[in-house]
This record gives sequence, C-alpha cells and structure tokens, in this order.
Amino acid sequence: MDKVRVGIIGFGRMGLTHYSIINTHPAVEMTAIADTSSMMLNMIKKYLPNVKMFEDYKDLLKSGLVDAVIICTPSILHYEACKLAGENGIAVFCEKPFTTSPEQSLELANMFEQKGLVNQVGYVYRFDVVFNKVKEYLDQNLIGKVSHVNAQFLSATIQSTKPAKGWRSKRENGGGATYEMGSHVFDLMNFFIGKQQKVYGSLLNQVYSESVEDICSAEVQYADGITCSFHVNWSDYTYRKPMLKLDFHGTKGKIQADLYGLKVYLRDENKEHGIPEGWTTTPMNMLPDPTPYYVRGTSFTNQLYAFADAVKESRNTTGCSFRAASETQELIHTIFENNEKQ
Amino acid sequence: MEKIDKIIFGDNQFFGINHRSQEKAEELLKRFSDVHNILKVYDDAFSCGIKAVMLNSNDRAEEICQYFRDHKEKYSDIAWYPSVPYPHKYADMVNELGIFPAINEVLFKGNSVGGVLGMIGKGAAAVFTKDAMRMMEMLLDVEFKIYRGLNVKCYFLLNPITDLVLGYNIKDVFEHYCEYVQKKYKVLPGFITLNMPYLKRKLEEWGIDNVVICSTINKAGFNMFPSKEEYEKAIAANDPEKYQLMAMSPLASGSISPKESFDYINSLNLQSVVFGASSKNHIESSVELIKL
Repeated sequence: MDKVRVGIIGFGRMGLTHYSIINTHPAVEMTAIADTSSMMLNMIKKYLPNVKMFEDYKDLLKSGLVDAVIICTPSILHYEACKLAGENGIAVFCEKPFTTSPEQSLELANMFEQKGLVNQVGYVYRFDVVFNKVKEYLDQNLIGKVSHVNAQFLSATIQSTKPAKGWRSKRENGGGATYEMGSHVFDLMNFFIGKQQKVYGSLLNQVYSESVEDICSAEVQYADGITCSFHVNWSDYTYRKPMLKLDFHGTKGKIQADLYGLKVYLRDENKEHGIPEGWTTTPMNMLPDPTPYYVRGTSFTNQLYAFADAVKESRNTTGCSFRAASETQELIHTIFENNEKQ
Repeated sequence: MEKIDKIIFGDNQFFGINHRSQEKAEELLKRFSDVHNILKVYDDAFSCGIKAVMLNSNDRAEEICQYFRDHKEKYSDIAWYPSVPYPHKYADMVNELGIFPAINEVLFKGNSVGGVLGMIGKGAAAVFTKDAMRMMEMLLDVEFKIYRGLNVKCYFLLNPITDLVLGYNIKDVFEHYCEYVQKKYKVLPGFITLNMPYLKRKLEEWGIDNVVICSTINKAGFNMFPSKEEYEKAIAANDPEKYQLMAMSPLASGSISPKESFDYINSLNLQSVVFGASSKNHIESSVELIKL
C-alpha cells in the first residue's frame, strides 16, 4: 500500500489529538472525518479541503474513502462502529475501553483476525518508555520469578459531588474509575504477564460519584501463580497529575516503576545488563524514547505510528490487539460481577 | 527583527512542573503557593543581571503581573515573554463540558462587563460565521489581558497548542496568529514547540518568518523530537534574521551538570535561552555559564 487513507470517527478531544499526530505520518493521507457536531465540521472543513466530512459515521465507513479508521466515539458506540468497519474491510484503531461487553469484544477480535484486518485498541501505556523498559527486564528474567505485583493508578479527576456531565457519569458509556483508569493498569498486566486466570475478590467504592465507582480494588491471579493487587482511585486529591505505579516482587529483585522512571533492586549484581547489587534508579528522561512527532506524549504518537505502519505493511500491530483488549474487557466485567455478588 | 533577550527567566519551578520527580514538584508547589516566595526569586534573578521573564498565563499569572504593574517604576527595565494558553484549564473544561461550551465559558465568564459586551458582539459573529480565526483572536485576547501594561516583547503560543495545530498542516492558523500578534499587540510572535525542526521547515515552506521559536534543547536530547541530530542540523542552518531560536529546558530537568549543559548551549547557533531555578546560587551560577 502506497499511502494509507485514514478517517477519524468522533472528533472530540481525542479525535482532535489523533488527527494531529497521524497526519504527520509520511505514509498517511487523511481523507475523512465523522462527527455528530455540525458546528465542528463546519468550522474545520474550510481549512481541510481534502478531507470529506460526514455527520453519520456509517456513511464514512461505506464511502470507500478510507483504508483505516480511528474510532474515538463514546465507548457505547465502539462495537457497532468497529463491526461495520470490519464488514467493509477497514483496519481499526479503537479508543479504550474497547467495548462495554466481553462478548462484543471477543466477537470483534474473532472477526478482525478472520478477515486479517489490522486491529488495535488505544491502551497507550504499552508505548510508555518506562513500562517498555519494565517489559524488557521482565522478559529477560532480571528479577527472577515474579510472585506478586502491586498496581496502582491514582488521580484527582473527580473532586466533587456535582453530577458529572457526559460519559464520565455512566458505566455503560465507559465511565467510572474502573473503565477510565483501571482498564489501563489491567491492560499493562496483560502486556507484562498475559491473560488473568482468576479474580479472587474485588471492591468498588464511591467517594463523590452517584452512579459509578470512584475507587476500585481487586485481587487477581495470573499464570505461574503470579498475583496482583490492583488499586485505582480517581478521587485522590493528593495527586496533581495522574500517577500509575507498579511494584514487581521477584526472587532475585524488585522493580518499582511509575510514569517518571523506574527503580530496580537486585539481590546480586547482574553483569550481563551491567546493573549493580542494590537499588538502581533510572529517571524517565534517561531512557531513549525516539518519537517522530510530539503532541501529547511520546506514547500517543508511537501507538498511532505503530498502527499506521502495520496497515501500510499489512502485518499485525505491535500495540494492544482486539484480542488482548477483549481479555482486559473480560477482567473488567469479572471485577464488576464479583463486586455485585458481595 | 527586534533582538530578543539572551537570558530569560522561566517559571516551571513555580508551578509544580518537574519532568523528573513528582515529589520535588510537589515540594516546590508548596513553597511557591505563597506569591511572596515567587516574587523573592524574581528579585534574586534580577539581582543576577537577568532582565527578562517568561510567564505562562496560568491561574497565578494575574497576581504576579498585578504586582509588577503596581511596582512598574522599580521594574521598568524588565521585558516580558508571556506564553499562552494555560493548557490544564482548557483540558479540564473540555473534558467536563465539551469543546464549544468550554470555549464559550472561557470567552464569556470572568470578564469585566465592558469586556463581555465587546466580546459577545465579536463572539456571536464568530459562532454564527463559524469563523475559527475570529475565535482564535478572542481566545488570545482573553489570555493576553493578563499581561496588560507590562513591557511585552514576544507572545508565545505554548507547545501543546502549537504542536497540536502544526500537525494539521494549516498555514492560515500560523500566518494569522503572527499577523494578529504583530498588528494588534506590536510584539514579536513566538512559538514554543517540541518539534522544532518540523515547525521551522513548515514556517519556511509557508514563507512565515520574523518569528521566535522556543524549544527544548539540551545535551541529553531530552524532549527533542524527532532527534537531537535533527535539531543540531536545523540550528546550524538557521538564519537568525528570520528565526530567533530560544532554548528551554537546557538542563534536561537536572539529568546533566549545569556546566556541561550550558557549554552545549553556548556551542550552538542560538539567540536565547530560558531557564528556571529556585535558589539564588543556582541562578547566579547559570547566568555565569551562559555565553551566547
């Protein structure tokens, strides 16, 4: 494929950002945008004369104008949009959370695999420079056999009882701390270790919100007896910026990682990697993070370039596949069900 | 083109921004929650010979600017390099309200009565004609108001906006911004970017010059996209009569020593450097090391 013709469905904050990033990719040609806001479409069409505007995404998907689409609608619409894209042979990058049901996620994963269409979900932390280093260390068995992981994602997103407007206030739209933030840490565990095996317990709690949870905690087991304690809180007022923290406990050492960098503790020196005994700290800005164009963070660019490259070269993406995202979807729903049983 | 100051005092340290450590950022945020502690650092910087300040239009900017307006005689020789907008304000609002209601909120809330009436006239027209350029002018006016009465030399568009818009490859927006800033405010237009070689290439392609470009430049190559090598090439080939280049984050958030950092900056074809520090010792030693 010479040029990849790309369309965007849903031109809100994420759609606006994704357009800017992907438009800088040398093999990409932006050809279409769909959004229900005619005000938005009218305002931008003057400046993007080569991009066709659609008020109904279905028309975009049937237009024959795109090889690939980026879907940034509310989550409730992801399933229908992905399905129609698949039926029209269009590769899909879909924002997270993937869908709002494990069955729908699985159906889409099967469909895109059978059709051989590139499929990716916007679990963007898979492209974070620190977490990639963590993945590398785990794959190299640097800290030996991992037995337990503590995974936390904390932010001050919701700080009032004032009913949140829009998607944040409804679980069926992908609202709540579990969908909005938990899904990211669940996906990271999927990236590091693989599919979860069992949810031992989960608790959802509210601080401010009425119809969704503000706090989610869960105890989950993975392959080889690895356990993980998740703690997600989007009402933690002590965090000015969202903080995603992971602690890995292994037989030969520990890894503590967050968005600012990582600390490794080794019980014995590792000569192969040149890491001494004891604590070694690597700040994020010391890790090489080659990125062609920066808009909102290197990981946002690298995930979209990975998608475009995969479409151009007709191969699987290095990002989160529909399959992996459907496993995370299953975990999210098991956590919901487990909590409801209590 | 009017020459910009060689050394400019930045503001990240005051507002809880530290690329390396959240804890350090929080600690500074606490110290500088008292505006007197900010003003004291400014006085330290001025006593070290710095005559220029870059200040973002965040929620503390108004009180800082008010102080300098109130003491204009004492600070008559200080040049201002504001950067707009304050991205968090917009990001939070857009999340909560959606894009257009957020713009509406910014334009029509918290302005004086005269301002609101003036803007509603202009704003209604902008909305009805769906004129993005008018809307941009109005948003800029709201931000620039914070710096009224100060000796502004250059208005910078902050990198989250510059780089977002740059990705769209729309010449009109850049051209219009530069013309508006030059004509209405009679100051130099500036862009802060994390993609300097890309921006510079585009501006050249579009025939837009007489612009200040501020970007992260440091020996570590931190926050230099696509690469440090591309930056070095673009800097070496630059004509400072067309684009004055300013380095920010010269210390790469503390990952390299000040001496090594500024030696690197001094070796490049740069016109200016902006740096921040919170102690007089650090300011003094940095100023001594800068030889542009």
